[in-house]
Amino acid sequence: MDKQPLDFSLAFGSAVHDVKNSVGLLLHSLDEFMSANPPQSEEDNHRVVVLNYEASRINNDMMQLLSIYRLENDRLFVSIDEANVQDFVEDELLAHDTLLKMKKIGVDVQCDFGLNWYFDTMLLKSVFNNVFVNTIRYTKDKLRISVDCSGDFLCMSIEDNGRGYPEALCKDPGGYLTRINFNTGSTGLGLYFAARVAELHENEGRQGYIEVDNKSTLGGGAFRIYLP
Amino acid sequence: MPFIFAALARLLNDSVLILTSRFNPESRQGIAIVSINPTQALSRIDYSRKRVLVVDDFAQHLEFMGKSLLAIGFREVELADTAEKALELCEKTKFDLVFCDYNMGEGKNGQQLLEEMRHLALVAHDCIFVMITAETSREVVLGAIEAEPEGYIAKPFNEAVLRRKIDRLLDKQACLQEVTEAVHKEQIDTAIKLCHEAAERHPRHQSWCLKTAAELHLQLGQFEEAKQLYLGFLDKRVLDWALLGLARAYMQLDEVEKAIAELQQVLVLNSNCVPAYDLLAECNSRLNDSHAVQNHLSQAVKLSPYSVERQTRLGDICVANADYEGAARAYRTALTTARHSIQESEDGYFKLAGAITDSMAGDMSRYDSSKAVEAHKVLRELDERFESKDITKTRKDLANVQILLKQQNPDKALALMNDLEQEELLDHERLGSSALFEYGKTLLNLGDEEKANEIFSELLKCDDVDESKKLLIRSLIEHVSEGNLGGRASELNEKGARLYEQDDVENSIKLFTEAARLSPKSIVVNLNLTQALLRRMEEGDVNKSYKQQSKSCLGNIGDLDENHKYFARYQNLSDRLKAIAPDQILEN
Repeated sequence: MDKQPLDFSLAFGSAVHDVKNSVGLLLHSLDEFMSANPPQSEEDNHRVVVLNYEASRINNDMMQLLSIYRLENDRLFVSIDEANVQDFVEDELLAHDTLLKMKKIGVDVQCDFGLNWYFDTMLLKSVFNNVFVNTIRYTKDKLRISVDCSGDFLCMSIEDNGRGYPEALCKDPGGYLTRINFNTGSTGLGLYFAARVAELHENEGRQGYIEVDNKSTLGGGAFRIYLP
Repeated sequence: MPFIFAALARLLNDSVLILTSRFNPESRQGIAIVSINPTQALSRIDYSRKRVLVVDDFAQHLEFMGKSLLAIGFREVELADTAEKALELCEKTKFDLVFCDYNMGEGKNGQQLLEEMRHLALVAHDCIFVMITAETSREVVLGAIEAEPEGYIAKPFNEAVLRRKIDRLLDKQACLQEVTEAVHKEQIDTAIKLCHEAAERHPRHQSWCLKTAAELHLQLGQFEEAKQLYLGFLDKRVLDWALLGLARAYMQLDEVEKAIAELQQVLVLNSNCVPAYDLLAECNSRLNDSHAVQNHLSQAVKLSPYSVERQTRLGDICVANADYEGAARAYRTALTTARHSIQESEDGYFKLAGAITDSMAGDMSRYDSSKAVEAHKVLRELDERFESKDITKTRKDLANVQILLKQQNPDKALALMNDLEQEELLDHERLGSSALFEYGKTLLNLGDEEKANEIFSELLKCDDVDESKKLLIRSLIEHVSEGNLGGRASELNEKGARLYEQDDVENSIKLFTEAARLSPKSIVVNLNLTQALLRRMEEGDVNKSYKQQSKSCLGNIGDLDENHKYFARYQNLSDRLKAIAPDQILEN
């Protein structure tokens, strides 16, 4: 008997949808629980941070996995339109507001007032979420987001004052995925995805790219994405 | 995630992190430092007087939205977990803001709800509609741009992000209020002027303003102006919507080839762009390429199947291409989608019944009888859905005539047709354009090309007949001029003609007789049959029934105008018949 081939993207999409709702429910229950029993100690607060952080990771990973699957199968839909960069950065900060506060991280943002650029907001958000959450985890107490559009590219960077990125990642951030290091727990998935998303942004023959190094103005790691 | 953010915000005495931007003149090149200041809120907006509706089938999310909106400062928040409830609420209250989840399980999706709300004018022109999307559904959301919401917000989001989104949308609305008011009052010229002014005043909304101005130029028929604006956009960056607008302008400027080139570029950028397929169909319709039209509409329908209008257009074009099964499929989808909505119409039922009838081979097969049953069923459904009007009765009779013809029952078909004629039910004005088209098609199936053509020409001049319907009508006229009777009758006629040429006159008579049964009013078939009968009689086969049959053939043709292309042939055959059987012709 002929079996209808399974549309994996569809199944995947539906699973992601389900996981998201599930994570939402989980957190909603936690929310209600905490309203009734407010955390009493630093330790409790820390647990909340961990929950929050891990939930963000689950969500980000699922999204990236789905996007990468679609990318590999030529089914990723890229919609580039004009967007306000400051709005974008603000939303990112607000989305991670709690985490930043609870970890007492000082954020410094430098962004051209009213600067508009062309990119796929949804894809870039996915990239940013991942790098951002990762940076929050590894930084000591500072974070800097700066946006610059001198030349033909928009450059958005996320810098920290943590211990920096591993040397191997800095050399070839997009290719790191192929050498997954299970010992350190770092899969490089986020950076691989970031590199692919950057490449999908093209304009007048120029292509986007990412940079990862430890030349942070704050003394730690730096992630930069360049969009034409 | 949203829940934990909201919860933590409350734990921390609602000190939701607020960002304020201030312009710092000392910093280099107008760089602003965005500082984080938990005490300073953007509180110039009075949320308490805004009415908000949230639609989401996921109860927990609905609850989160409700709590968050109240925490932000809204006082009038209504929640609906189905599209139907949302519509009910909209009838009672004029909402200022609507948040709607795109993916709502079994029922209508957010896009359909938005379209229905706007169509039924259940939301005011200044209502802000925000679609809540998940990244997983964005292809669908971005592909189907039938009606655009004012904003999107992607799940998951927290209260702070929600508040910022609302602030930005309200701010944008305030900046552009004059423009939207002018558009609402249909003062388009003023609106265009205001767009340009607002673009200067609010650099942040410049693109929106100029994009809107270009669309308004298109609306006013100022295609050259629109073209220039779109070219201006494209000078800076290749953007799908600007290419689309440019293509629209080119098409209207009769530069169809250029329009098609732009649209192909849109599809390279975004192969899911439904409006691009729609426009390609429209361009090809102008080039009279009905197969290309069908091809592009099929693509659009695959991506966005729930547009009644598009499915109907696809059905029409399928009929033009004699793809009756395809037509029936499209009309059926249109009907199912429209059912129980304001878009449901009698037309939909007649079109479907017509396509099913057209798909019959006219060979008395089992397939045909099942199709006849299906067509009758559609006409019965119509009775259940609509109160019967006189005109509906006439249209049903016309549909029945066509079914009877396909069932090889021309006597009954002709009798029914005669009744309609005698009761003067077929007056063109009484019928109106939809029913008149059905009348024309019935006449065509009866073989009365002459009268059918007259009706079709009349319809082509009607303002309420859209482009795709006109393409269908033109294709039908073409069929007629090629002597194409459609389906079985035409096949029999051609075979008969071949046999006649091979001097197998007796068998050609059999085939022509059969063709005449299927298309009793066809001039070509009746003339062919008469000629074959006459040849037999002139060769000495003085068969009484032949005389009778020739007589009724010429009778079916009726009086031909002197200018008719077959007049000479008709006259010749008529004279020859008179020579053989003068008495019988005179009796007529």
